[in-house]
Amino acid sequence: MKRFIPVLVVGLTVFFMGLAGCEDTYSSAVKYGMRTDPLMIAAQPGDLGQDVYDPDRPGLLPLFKAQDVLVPENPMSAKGMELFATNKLRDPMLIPADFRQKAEEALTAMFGTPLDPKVEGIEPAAREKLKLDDKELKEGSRLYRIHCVHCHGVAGNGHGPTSRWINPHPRDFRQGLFKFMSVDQTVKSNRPPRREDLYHTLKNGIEGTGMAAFSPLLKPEQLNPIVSYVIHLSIRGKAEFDFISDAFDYTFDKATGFKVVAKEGLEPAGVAEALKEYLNLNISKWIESQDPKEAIQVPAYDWNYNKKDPKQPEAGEWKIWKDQKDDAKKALIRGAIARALFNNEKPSLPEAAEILEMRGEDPKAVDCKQCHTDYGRQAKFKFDQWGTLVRPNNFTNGVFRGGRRPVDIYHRVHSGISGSGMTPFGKTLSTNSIWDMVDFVQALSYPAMRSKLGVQID
Amino acid sequence: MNKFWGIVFAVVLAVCGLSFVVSPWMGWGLPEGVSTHAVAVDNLWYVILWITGFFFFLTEAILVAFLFLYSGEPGAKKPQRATGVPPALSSLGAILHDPHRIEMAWTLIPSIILLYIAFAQIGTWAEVKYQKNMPEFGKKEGNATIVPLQVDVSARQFEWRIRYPGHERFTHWLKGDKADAADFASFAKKPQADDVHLVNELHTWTGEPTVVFLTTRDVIHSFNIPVMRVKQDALPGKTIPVWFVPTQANTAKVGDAFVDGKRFKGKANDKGIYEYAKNASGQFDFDAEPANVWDLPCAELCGWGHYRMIGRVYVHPSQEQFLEWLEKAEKEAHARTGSR
Repeated sequence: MKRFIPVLVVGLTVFFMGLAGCEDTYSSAVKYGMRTDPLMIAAQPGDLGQDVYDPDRPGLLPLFKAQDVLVPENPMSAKGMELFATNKLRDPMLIPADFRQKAEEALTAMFGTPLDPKVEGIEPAAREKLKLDDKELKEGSRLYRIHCVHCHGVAGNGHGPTSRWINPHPRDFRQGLFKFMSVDQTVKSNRPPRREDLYHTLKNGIEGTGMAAFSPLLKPEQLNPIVSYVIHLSIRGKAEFDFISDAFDYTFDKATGFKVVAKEGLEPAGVAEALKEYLNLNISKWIESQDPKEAIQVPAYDWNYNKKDPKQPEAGEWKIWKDQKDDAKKALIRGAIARALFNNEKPSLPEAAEILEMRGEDPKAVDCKQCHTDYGRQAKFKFDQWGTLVRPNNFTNGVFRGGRRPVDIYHRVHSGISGSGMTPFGKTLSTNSIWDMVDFVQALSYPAMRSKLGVQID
Repeated sequence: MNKFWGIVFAVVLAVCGLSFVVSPWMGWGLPEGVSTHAVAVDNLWYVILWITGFFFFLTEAILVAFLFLYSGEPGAKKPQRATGVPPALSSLGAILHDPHRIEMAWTLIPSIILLYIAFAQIGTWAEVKYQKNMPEFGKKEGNATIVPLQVDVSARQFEWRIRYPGHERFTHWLKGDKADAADFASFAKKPQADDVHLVNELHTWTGEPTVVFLTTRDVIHSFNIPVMRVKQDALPGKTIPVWFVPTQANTAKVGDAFVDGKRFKGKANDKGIYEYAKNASGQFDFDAEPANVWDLPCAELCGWGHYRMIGRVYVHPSQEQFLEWLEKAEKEAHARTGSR
């Protein structure tokens, strides 16, 4: 008996360790499953609720179940069930069971399982361009399970076990929206990112959030499969999203409650075909984004810019720039231009006012201050398109989530940040004004630079 | 049958002894030390290892011996209480007969040993940790003026955010002009627009000191470079300096890129700093096979990502190559063209 107990303890320990297994892939029993959490179909981020000063408490956002919107502490509860009644949120659990079952089967047939991911139903050329072959996806899935799933969730829904405690919340890939991209969003909005953008996020992390840098721990031959897998999760989630939001009519009647019916002509047997169509529509957008011609063009500052007549550079801004005695004076003018645009005020220097006139730009159309109140120091939290609260950047901190290089900030000003309230200014502002703005916001966190630009923020 | 536990403990002791003996050939020992701190730190490590190892084997051997000698069968007569002292230890009879003296002996002897260790390590601790011993700006060493590399390392969950001075500013400091002392001293607390920011990459060069100003943005982390024998907790609210002088390099220029993990051909001078031979084209010679990947793993549990909070240390073989790298890194960090 004396010897039995220690042997039993050792034996049980070894047994339970053995149960854990030696595999680092998903178990074959794990499935993606149909989503059960509400979809956000907000047209404007502000549709979901008011701007607030405080962030949300853990576990409230994003919504896990439709009923959670009624929890009093939930920042969305002010709008309550009205959000569902006005179709700003859609509850997938209301979809008829036979359609849900067919959708789940079709999604499994098209996208596989976490252990064996695949993408069926698209052109081989598209699969090759986006690197979505089975081998790449399998390796990506294995690495994702080790490094990413605890925040981003099995289906890439941002609902992993750690996610509850992280603010800003981990990205939900299923809407096909990504924030920090180098794809021109002024041509069309909400375009998918390039592979390089996702790679950049993995490699460098996102400063100021819980997304850490994975380089040098993971090498390029490991980061690239993860990029492929993230794309896989995103296109799977988006096909599901488009199907749920687009293929059904959602109505609310005070007497009878919510009713969800399939749109005219859609039968359970046609679900697989419908999903395939949604997938291919999305794939074509992804393919288009990979084209280098669709990347944001970043020209250098043009001291000879003449908006009214590009063929006459000597009649343009150069008239003013050439009269400045040194670079210091030029910097002051550029700072004045940017500050006027930022705060929607009259420029503090006459040269700046002249240049803004020549460029045909009205500070009213820019007015960064309305979101980045007091240079971001008093900005309020706003709802984004994922149904979480985020705050416009505080530039005095010197933290730039999408990257701190000047070209990164140029991308943000030019094409905005998809999903958040940051709008693209690429069509509103000239290249020169964007560069003025980039140098201005970069300088905001450095007192010495602020004085060079003649900027007073206190 | 009752010898079962005696056998178990004897086997465990034998395995410990065997692994201790074979560890150098199995690579289980300390990693190669590549800083000037390494000699003193490793010496202390070995002194403590031998002292504690000796007492470990002594006490465990006595335990195993007792387990064998006094393991009786159930129901057997209890062994007689030993009244005499074993012949081998008869000279210690005066102490061993008196319980009070035995207690004093095995309290005093460990105390003396511990006090010895405590005093033996003071010098090394002061050398490595005291701020008055840290490298200074513009210290003269023979004909050379030493200007240490200053790096600001800001730990955060789960990466190392590293800030270097700009290339122009740093080359200016290298002149060692006393007028630059104030600017040099301001680096730690005052970021500047021309600073170069990187993630998880700590670059330096051999032969001269590097001073790291360590901060944390959230919880306690620990800055740890095993091969340099430096370890320092990063405490919220504090800026803590850490310094070391690398003696070997591991980063080679291959074409236009800087690649780590290389083993250079050269030998140590009388200060222990490696001097690397250049080949006919004036380039440093290194082995193609990567062997010298030096990690910067966090050494204080900081959350779920602690396991992968690992940076990399790149030691260039000369100051010139480091400056070349810094210039390149600065261009990339302040890029105004391109996409990714």
